[in-house]
Amino acid sequence: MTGYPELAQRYRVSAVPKTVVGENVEFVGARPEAFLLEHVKQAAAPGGSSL
Amino acid sequence: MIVSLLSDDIAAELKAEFASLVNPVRLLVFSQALADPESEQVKRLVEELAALDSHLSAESYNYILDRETAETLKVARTPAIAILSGDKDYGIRFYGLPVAHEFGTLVDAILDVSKGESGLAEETQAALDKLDHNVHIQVFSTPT
Repeated sequence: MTGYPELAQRYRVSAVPKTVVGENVEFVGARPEAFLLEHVKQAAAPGGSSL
Repeated sequence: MIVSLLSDDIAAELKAEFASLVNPVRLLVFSQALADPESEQVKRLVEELAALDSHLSAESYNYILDRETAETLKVARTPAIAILSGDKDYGIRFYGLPVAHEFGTLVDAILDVSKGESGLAEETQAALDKLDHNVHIQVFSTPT
């Protein structure tokens, strides 16, 4: 991530690929679909935008 | 002479892949007012892609002057590519120049949007249908 330094800083991107769901739910690496889905559900839950 | 970003081999491969396109796909490029080399490359790449198949069209927008379109599509920065089918917007945006692995991701996104298929498993689709609001997913990558 060199192109958008302010975004990299805002989402604490130090390794890629990094996926940020909502504002606070995140994971690093290529993961299975079900793993992403769990993180999407977490981010979508009421008041639950963090792991 | 202008050198193509896509080699003849890649162009031929893409043409074969694009033979499976179903619905028309619009590739909207947003760039800045001042000549920015990365934006210019994104624009050229998208124009070269669009030239490969009649289902594809390239549209160029100025992030500042075409503010309304940028805001409607929630384009957050430049250079950006928004992938739509007609007015159908699945919310797919690429920021920066999609090269190497990300170029493949861009091509996959074009195919998915054209077919109106996410490629997700039925169970995943069913679980997502239950969400009552949109969730923003951002993937950060680097051209390797």
